[in-house]
Amino acid sequence: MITKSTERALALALFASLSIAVDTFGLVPAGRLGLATVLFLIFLKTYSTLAQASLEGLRVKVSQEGALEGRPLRVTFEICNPFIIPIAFVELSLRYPEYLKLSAGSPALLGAIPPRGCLSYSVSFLARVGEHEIGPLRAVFRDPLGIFRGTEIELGEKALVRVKPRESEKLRRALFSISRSGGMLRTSRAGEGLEFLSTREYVPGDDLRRVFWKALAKGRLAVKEFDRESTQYNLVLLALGKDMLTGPYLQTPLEHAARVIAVLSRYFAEKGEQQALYLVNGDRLDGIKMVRGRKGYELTIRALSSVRLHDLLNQRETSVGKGTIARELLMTLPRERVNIIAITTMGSARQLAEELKVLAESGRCSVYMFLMVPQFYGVETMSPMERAIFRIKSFQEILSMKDALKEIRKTGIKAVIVTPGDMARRIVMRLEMERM
Amino acid sequence: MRKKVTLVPLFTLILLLIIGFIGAIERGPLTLSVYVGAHPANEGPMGLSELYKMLRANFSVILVNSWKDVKLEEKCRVLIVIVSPELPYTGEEAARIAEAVRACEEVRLLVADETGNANPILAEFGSEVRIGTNALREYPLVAVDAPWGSYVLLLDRPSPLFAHGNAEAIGIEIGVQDPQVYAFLESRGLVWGDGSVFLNQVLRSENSIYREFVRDTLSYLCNNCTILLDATKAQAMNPLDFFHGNVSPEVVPLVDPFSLLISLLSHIIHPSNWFFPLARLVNALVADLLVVSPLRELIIVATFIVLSLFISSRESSERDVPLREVTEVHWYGYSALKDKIMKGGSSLKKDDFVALYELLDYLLLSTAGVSLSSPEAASVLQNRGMSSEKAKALVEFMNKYYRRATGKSLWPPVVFWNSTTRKAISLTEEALKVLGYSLMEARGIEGRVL
Repeated sequence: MITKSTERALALALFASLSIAVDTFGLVPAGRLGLATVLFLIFLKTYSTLAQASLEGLRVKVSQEGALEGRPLRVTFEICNPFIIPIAFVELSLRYPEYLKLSAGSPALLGAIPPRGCLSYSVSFLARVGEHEIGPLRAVFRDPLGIFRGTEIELGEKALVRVKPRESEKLRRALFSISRSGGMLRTSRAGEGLEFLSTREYVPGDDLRRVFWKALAKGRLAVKEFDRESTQYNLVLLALGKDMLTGPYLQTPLEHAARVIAVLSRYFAEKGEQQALYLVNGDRLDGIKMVRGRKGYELTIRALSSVRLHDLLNQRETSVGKGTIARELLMTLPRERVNIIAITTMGSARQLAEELKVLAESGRCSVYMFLMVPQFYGVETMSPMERAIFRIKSFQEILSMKDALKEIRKTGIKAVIVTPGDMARRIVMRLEMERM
Repeated sequence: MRKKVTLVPLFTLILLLIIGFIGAIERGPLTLSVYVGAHPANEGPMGLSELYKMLRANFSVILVNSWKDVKLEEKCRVLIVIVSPELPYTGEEAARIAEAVRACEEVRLLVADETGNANPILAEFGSEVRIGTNALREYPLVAVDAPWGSYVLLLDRPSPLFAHGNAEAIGIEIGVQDPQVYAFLESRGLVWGDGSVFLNQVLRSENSIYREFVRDTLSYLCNNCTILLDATKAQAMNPLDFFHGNVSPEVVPLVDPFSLLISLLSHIIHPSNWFFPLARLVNALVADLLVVSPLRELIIVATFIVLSLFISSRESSERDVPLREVTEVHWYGYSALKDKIMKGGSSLKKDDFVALYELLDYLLLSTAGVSLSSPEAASVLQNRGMSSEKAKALVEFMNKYYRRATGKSLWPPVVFWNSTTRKAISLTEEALKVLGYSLMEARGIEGRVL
């Protein structure tokens, strides 16, 4: 409950002193003015102290709306003054992560809160995937003339916001068009299934219920063959290196990867396949174990919306794993063959490949690594000549990705370089090939 | 680290001091009186400080400055000691003393007086003894034959005593033809015609018989009782009188110098004695200074500064700055390189030309299956839609400067690589476009290269 005077108070104090001094020595009769100024300062000080005490006792309610990537994320602070002292004025400044972009509202404001009244303050962000802490509000009281200033305090609690990735319906449909089945689980190996595959000549021992009567009518004894139904075990591994956040707003590798994983997860869920998601953050491995169907999808979305971007930014270096990831994964894998889909950027690729080498060599898994191409974002703002110079100077680096790719492939990991746009399709095509 | 706790704020402390200061001025100076006669506070030769010390060491003593304030318990035993009163007791005062000790079951008196001032006391308490008012001899030798011992004492101008009734004469002058009685013992106590025996100059003397006499007498008279030592009849003197010459010269040697000094100091340091003269002095000084022109302005400025500092020091001040807002940050790939190019700080060098050549060579090889150094390169580009002259010029230009950049040729001898590479970029862009790529457009070679 401390208020301090500002430089304006000092100016007023000087004025009061001068008035009193010149009056004392009979120069100008300004003593009353000086005394009135001092009394005014005392009055303002008293009011400021009371208002600061009221400020510290304010009740703050935080609410939020919208938590889907790319949509407005609205956060509202309802600040109520339960006391009879009006607070005029209070400067508010919202604390929010520096990587979030404000789409509506101001990050700071100067307002007054009437006695037993409330002030509502709303801001909107362009939501991006992950977990974000918004708030608390920082507040400072000032009297109407700005002569006294209170100490800075925090109002309310942090609002913990989890934003889900946006899913492309078009991409989801495209993935099903790649798949040879509309939703049932199948392989190209003939077996006991429901979906027709082909016909072949009858051999003794075949079930008579599978005889192809139309062929028999033409004098050929044949039986129908059906797709053998099977379940795939897909484990998505997302390497969260610091460079995952490099790029324009909503176009970073992390956001592309989150959208792809969300669509893939829905695809897996609708096909009834087993899926798991693990996030590799430094030497930490978090995620969800193999789950089937809708639950797997929900858990995946929850895991993606819980990625703490703040932690990623504060990583000292881009590093994934410390030689323990493969061991930890092996302990959680089912006995069936598992497709491991590792999604990473160039910065983390070599380290992750070292980690997953054991899994590739174990024979229990098919390990695929999808390296996202670095996007030369922001070239739109450059002149054609500048773009050309930029591309020439960074060309060597792009070529070095090819060398890295060769090295990774030597470890037994099937690595490919993809752009965010065709990553989901490439992944599904790989998985379909695995099914054959 | 322990928190510093302020029990009394500085402001409150200063306010209290100012109030105390004003109160002290209003009340006036405290006068510590100086005694020259028989008073327990007098350390001089005529004082009773030695007697007081002796009493305090052996008895329960109450020093009586006002008999109104004496409060005694029921059924107490007291001995009233009166030594050489300098002023006579009135009948009212004697009655007040009797009233003060009325509740006691035993009241005894020790009156040592050579002036007769204590006679009203003796009368009030029903004593049969009276003190004469004139000393007959200066230093009579007196034999004391008392129940507590026998003594031969030399007295200092005592007054003879007169008694009727049953008072027993215990102190009789010896060595003269008409001996006087100087001490009577009666049921009420002892009446002694000389106070000098109890004074400091006698009790401090080398002859210890006086000290023994006093001690024995008091022990006899006060058996498990409280002694009331009367100090109401000693005359106080204002210490300033000694400086103003209002004191007779024979009194001066009788004053204890230390007591006098303390008394003077207490008088001098009191604000009522120096504050007003000082204020008057300062006022006069300021008034004089204000007459002088430059000093007048200086004083106003100094007062202004002092007042300003005082007012501003009451408040802790800080600069009023707005709250820091969050700065939104985005991280683009190759942002440092991009910034440098956009600011024009990146000039093209020989290595950049080599990179451009290798880029075109790579794309030509991967797209058309021929190298840029191959003789078919120009025709391949021509087949893809580039004009024949431009294709030939591009291939020739690129190979010529590539040989120069890689040291395979020394021609041309002087090359400005920045302008040469920029020209090469323009030529290459046309070739890249016919191959389906671009360096200059928003969607460039990245992605498709890989």
